Amino acid sequence: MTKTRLFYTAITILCIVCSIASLYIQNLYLLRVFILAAITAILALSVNILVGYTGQISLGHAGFFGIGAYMVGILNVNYHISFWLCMVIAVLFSGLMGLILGLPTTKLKGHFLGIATLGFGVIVNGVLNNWMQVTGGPQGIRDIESPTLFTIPLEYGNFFLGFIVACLSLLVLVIYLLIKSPIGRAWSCLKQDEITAYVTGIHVYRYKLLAFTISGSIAGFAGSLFAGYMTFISPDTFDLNQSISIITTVILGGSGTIAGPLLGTALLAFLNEWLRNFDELRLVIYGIILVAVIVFIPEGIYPFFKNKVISIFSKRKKASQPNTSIEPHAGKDAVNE
Amino acid sequence: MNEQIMKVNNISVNFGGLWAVKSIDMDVKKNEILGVMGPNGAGKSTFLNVLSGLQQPSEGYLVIGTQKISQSKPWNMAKLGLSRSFQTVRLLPELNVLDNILIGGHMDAEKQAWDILFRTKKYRQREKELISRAENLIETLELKDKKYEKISKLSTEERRRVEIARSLMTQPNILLLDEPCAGLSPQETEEISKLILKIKEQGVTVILVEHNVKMIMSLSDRIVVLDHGQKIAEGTPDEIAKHEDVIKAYLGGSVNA
Repeated sequence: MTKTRLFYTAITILCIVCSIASLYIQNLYLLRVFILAAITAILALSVNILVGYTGQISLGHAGFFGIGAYMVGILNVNYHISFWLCMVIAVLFSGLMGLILGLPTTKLKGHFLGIATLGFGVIVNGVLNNWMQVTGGPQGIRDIESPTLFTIPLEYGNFFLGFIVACLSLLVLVIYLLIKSPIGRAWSCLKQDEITAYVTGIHVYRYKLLAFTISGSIAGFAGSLFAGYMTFISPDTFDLNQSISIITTVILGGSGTIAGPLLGTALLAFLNEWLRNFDELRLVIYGIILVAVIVFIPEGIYPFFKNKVISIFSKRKKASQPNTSIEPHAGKDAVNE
Repeated sequence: MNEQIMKVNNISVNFGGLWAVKSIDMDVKKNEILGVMGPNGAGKSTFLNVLSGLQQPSEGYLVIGTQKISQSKPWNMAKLGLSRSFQTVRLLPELNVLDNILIGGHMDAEKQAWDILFRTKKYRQREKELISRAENLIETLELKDKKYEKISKLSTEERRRVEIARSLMTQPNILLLDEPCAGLSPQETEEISKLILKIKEQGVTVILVEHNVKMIMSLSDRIVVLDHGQKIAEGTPDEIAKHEDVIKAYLGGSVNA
């Protein structure tokens, strides 16, 4: 419980500090980068539930992201439903789509699951591009209502950033509570060994479906925030590149941890902006850095540095207690953070 | 002792024309150690897979309590009180000993979203109970100093103990042990044998598949012998040791049980 309380406190402090700090950022460009990075972080957390905690590959997550964004766009612009209600519907509908995608795919593994989810992403993008009457086709949907929260207009970047940081923090807390519960244990078990999950009474397919549903909902939530912030959406944001980019972010940061996807998002957002100075060489350098990290730190940046720090501290501890027979409890709560 | 806990009725498993298990009938009695032995390829592991729901039988059914089961998912078999260990230990390498054992408590855990997200009193109480149950098992199975150790740091015998502890965490009525002494030294085999007797004393029925003839003969109350997927003998260890078909098919001589 102490660890959980510490986590609550850290999240609350971080949330308050970030929300207050966001009010003082004057640079509009920086605000935009932060907001888009926070939306990407939410998307990365949703992919992490499938890839990191449940061991299910998803190459079509931009599909859920797009469904969330377009639900808000369509309902708000065409039917004049308030943004917040649109957001609730978008989250529920994306979750439902996750469930529907999960039904036939939970029995697939590895490449086959990858191909099935990839197909889902391509289908969604195809629908967004071609269902002209509803989605506006390649022209997309414009003039989506910017949300207002208790008289605070979120069309101002500072307020939106504060709001999105609060959402991100709340989401981190919810995911933490989930993975530190029997549900998280079941996910961890079916990720590492499905046979063990079977014989310990874990209904494997039900837990995979749950992961697909939650992951879809969160991605839809990210999509609805994106629609609310940009007020314009078009299908090219929700294509295969987005799906690949988001899974890269998760793997690069360290899948199966909460901090990993957040760190991955922060690093890639920074890298993307920094590399703008290199014009046409941008993508080449970006690619080289990604390949280098994946080759040399396959477990991800966060777990790599975490393990380094742990090993340094345990060496120091051993050095200061040369006669102790107690071994370090490195394994305690090792999984799921 | 004579009360029947499970009935195996005409169970057969066919793999593309090959009968891995053919028409096996047997009764499992409450609180006994039932040995299942046979040469390699006799169908012992397939038979255990059928009992634990990992393999669906081509024919036949099981009766557990009053329930007749012909096709059942493994998680349902676990709910019916069957738990098992594997010939090659199956543990979760990313978790420590305590967390591995806690996986076995899944069926008794509080899984309602409300309770999980708000860490209600009911949830905390249930988790506390599970952890205390896992800690008791850790103590019983003499793994106390390994509680937070990662699986990769454990010896083969310790891993077997953790796997058995995880199986016991499901609070089974019937424990299926698939060659629990494979790869162990004679001393370690002795330790595991004592452990199996201890489990029996706690009221759990044990179905033991084992290649170590001496061990299975000394531990089992009754033994079933399989050969080429068929049951060729059933009886007490003494009867099995003298059984002609067993000697011919498997032992190649008499047994000093």
